[in-house]
Amino acid sequence: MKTPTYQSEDFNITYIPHDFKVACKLFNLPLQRFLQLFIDHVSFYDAICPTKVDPHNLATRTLMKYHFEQKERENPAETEKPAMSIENIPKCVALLKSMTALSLNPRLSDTQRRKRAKPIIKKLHSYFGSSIVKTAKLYLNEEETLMLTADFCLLCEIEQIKPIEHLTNFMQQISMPDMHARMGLNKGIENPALGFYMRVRKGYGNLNPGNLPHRDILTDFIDAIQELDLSLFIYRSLSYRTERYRELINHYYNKIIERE
Amino acid sequence: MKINCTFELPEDFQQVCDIFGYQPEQVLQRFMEEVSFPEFFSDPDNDHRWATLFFLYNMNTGDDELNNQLKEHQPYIDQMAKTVLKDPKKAEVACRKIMKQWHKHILEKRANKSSPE
Repeated sequence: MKTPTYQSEDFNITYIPHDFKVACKLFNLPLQRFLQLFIDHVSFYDAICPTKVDPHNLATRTLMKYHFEQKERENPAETEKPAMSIENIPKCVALLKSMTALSLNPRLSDTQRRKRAKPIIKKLHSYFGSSIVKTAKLYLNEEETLMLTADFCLLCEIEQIKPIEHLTNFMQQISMPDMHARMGLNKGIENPALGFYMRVRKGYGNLNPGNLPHRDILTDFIDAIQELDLSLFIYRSLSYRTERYRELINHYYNKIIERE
Repeated sequence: MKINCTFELPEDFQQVCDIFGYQPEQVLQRFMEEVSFPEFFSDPDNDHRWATLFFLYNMNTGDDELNNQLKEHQPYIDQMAKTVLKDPKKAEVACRKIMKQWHKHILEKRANKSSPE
């Protein structure tokens, strides 16, 4: 029998943060479709060439921001290096040059550039090997899976960060209590993952075409949160506000769960 | 305190006042009577919360201008929050005292700012 080359933690997503689950449930965004949409929007072209702020740009920046934060924490000597052979380095350099040439063509839109970059990215991915991404198929549960793209895998290989670690970070960045607390205190921070979530919530990707089965609960929730925004005026602590929002948001989340 | 005011009555407001037989002055008087930080923050779910909620909404609590002024207000806001968290039942009276100090402080500061050096 062949020895397995990868382990359960390489393909089983076992941890879904509570706030993320709630943020999706309240607005009827199916977890699997939302996560797959995110994966599909991560673009290696956006990682190396400047693009306008859109869902591709936000998804890609989520990975890059996390990598940057990890890099700051780690000792560079301990960081693993991508499994690329020396003879492939010049080939990769040539491919990267052809990608940056695309970004300099003023007649192309970001969408056209991403499309033309696809075959280059596939080649790059093949040169970079797979020391980090053991399998492109991840399991959310017994029935639902996620498929990683060449763009996503390539970034994981370059950054030496496992796909599930990136997805976990993405989910952890999406917290409605934190978002509302920060908004009220004008303490917004760069959060491309949240930007991606908000675009999807407003209809991007068509995950929820006007279909909100618990519209009555949601309407009450929006009323309650608008009142809470105002009644928290005298509380200037981020953590206190976050907890108050979490209490309220969980209350409405539980109402939906009880009804289902 | 009494002041004389002249208002331009917006058509929509005037219409509802006329239809339901309200004097615009009475409606505005009712609104003013219901705006109360001590009452609202000590019991944010009370039945009289709407006028204060409207007032807060109108303050646009997340905007930059208010945030720039917050440093000045912060000690009083914090005191009120602390008082309410300590005992909401006794907070209304205590908050009125804080409001008086806050009011005095802001008026003094404004007077000092506008007086010639």
